[in-house]
Amino acid sequence: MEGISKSFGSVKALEKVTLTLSHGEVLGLVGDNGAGKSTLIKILSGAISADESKIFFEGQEIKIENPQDARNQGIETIYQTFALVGNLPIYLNIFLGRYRVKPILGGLIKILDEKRMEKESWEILQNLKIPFNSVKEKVDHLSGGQRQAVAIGRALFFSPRIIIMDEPTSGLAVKEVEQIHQIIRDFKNKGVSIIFITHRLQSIFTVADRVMVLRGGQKVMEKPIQETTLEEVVRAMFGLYLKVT
Amino acid sequence: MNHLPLLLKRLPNAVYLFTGILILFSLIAPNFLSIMNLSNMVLQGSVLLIVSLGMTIVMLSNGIDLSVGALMSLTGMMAGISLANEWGVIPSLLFGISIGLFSGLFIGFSVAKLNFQPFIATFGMMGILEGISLYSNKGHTVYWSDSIFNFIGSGYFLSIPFPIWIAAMVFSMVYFLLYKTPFGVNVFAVGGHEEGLRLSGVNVKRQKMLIYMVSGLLASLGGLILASRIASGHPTVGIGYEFEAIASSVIGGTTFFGGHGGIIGTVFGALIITLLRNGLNLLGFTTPYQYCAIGFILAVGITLNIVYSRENTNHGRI
Repeated sequence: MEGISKSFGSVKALEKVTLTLSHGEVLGLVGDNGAGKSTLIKILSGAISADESKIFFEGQEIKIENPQDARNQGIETIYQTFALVGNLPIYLNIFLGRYRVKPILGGLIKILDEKRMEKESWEILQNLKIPFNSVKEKVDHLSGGQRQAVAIGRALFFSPRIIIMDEPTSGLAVKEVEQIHQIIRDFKNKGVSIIFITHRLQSIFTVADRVMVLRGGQKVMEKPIQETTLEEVVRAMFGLYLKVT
Repeated sequence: MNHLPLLLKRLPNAVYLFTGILILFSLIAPNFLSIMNLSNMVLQGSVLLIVSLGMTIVMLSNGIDLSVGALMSLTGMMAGISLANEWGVIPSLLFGISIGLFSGLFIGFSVAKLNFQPFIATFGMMGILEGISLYSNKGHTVYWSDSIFNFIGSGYFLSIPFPIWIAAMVFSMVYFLLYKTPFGVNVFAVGGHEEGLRLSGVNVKRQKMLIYMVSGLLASLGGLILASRIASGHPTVGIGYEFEAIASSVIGGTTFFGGHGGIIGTVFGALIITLLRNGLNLLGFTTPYQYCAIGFILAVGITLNIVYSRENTNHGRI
C-alpha cells in the first residue's frame, strides 16, 4: 500500500502512509488510540475507502472498493468487534456471505447446503482447539474466546493470502492469548501474511517479524523485530521517552 | 416423547394465545364453530396473511413498511381501471404486481441508498400512494365485469376458496425463501448486525432493496385479491392493513428491532387478528371495538415476547 491518505472532515486520520507486507510475514501494527491503525486496515479490507491510495498485490495494482473486493483478493479481516451476527448460528457466521449452496430442480435454484456447512464448520473449529458444544449454537450465547474462534474460523476457511487481525487478543484470558499466538504461527507456517494490531506489545515481540508504528496518522517507525526493543517501540508510539520496566 | 417439551418451547407464543381465544369464542360466540364461519374466517385471514408475510420479512431486517395498506388500495384501483378499459386479466394483474414491485424498489432505494429511516420513507410513500389512489378515479370506486378476475378472490378450487390456496402457496414460497436460501439468511443478518454482514462482503444495499420489493410484491398481491373479492377497486380499501400486518408480525413474535422472529408466528398472528374480528362481530361488537381489541392483544403479544425472549428459545433463525 502506497501513499495512503484519509481525512474525516478536518481530521487527517492518515497521511501518506506506506505499508508493505512480504509472503508469510507477520507485521505488528501498533500505535496509540487514534493513531490511524484501524483506519489503515479498514482501507485494506475495503470497509472504508481512502482519499488517496495505491494498493499493489504481487506486483499488480488492485482496486479495493468494498469488502467483497478484498475477500476476492484473499484478504480476510478479523475485526475487533468480530463482525459476527449474534442471532445466527455459528456455522452460518463462518460462511456468512459465502454460503455453501446446492442446486435443486436441475440447477434452476440454489439452496443452502446446511449439512455441509455444519460439518465443515465443526471441522475448522476443532482445529482451533477451542471447545464448542454444537455449531448450531447462536453466536449470542458464546463466550469471548469462542466468538474469537468463530471469527478466526471464518477467516481461515477460505484459504486467505493475507489475514488482518484487529486486536485479536483483547478481552481474552492468558491461555486463550497463547492459543491466538499459536494460530498466528500456524498461519505463518502455511505462507499466509498477517497484519496484527494490538495494544499488547508483548504479543508483537512474541509473534511478529516486523513492527510498524503509527502516530497521528503518520508512520514513525518500521523495523525488524530483532532490531528493536520494547522501549523504542513505546517511545515511537507516544513520541516521548518512557522507561519501561 | 422426550422431544415434546422442547417442541412446545419452540412453538411461537402466538400459538397459545390463538388456542386461548379460539376456546373462548367457541364457548361464548354463537355459530363460531360452524363450517361456514370457520371457512369464512380463513378466507378473510388469507389476504392479511399474505401482506403480513412481507411485513415480517421487512421487520426481520430491522425495517418497517407503513405503505402496504395504501399500496393495496392503489393496486386494486389500477388493476380495476385497466380491467374497465379492457386490457384483459393477465395484463391487469401484471400491471398491479409491477406497481407493488416499483413501490418496493422506490422505498428500498430511499432506505438503502439515500439512508432514509424506513419509518419515514414508508410513511411518505403511504401518503404518495394514497394520493395517487384517490386521484386515479377522482375518488370514486371503479367497477368491471370480468368474471375470471373475480374468480381470484371469490372462486373455489377443490371446495376450498381460491385465496386460501394462494395464501398457502405464498407461505410456502416465503418459507422457502427465508429458511432455505442465502437471501433468507441475509434477511436475519441485516436485522441482527448489518455492519457485520456488510464487512463479510454482502451487498447490503441490494439486499435491503430486494426486501422492500418482496414486501411491495406481496402487498400488491393482497390488494389484487381484495379487489377481486369485492369485485371493485376502492381508493381507501387497504387502509388499516398496515396496522394489522404489523400487529400480526409482532403478535407472532417478530420484534421491532430486527433479527428475531419468523413467519410461523406470523401465521398465528394473522389468525388471531382474524379470529378476534370474527368473534367480536358475532358477539355484536362493531369495528371500533375490534380495533381496540387488536390493540390490546398487540400489547399483550409484545409483553409476552419481551418476557419469553429472555429464554431465547423460539427466536432468531431456527
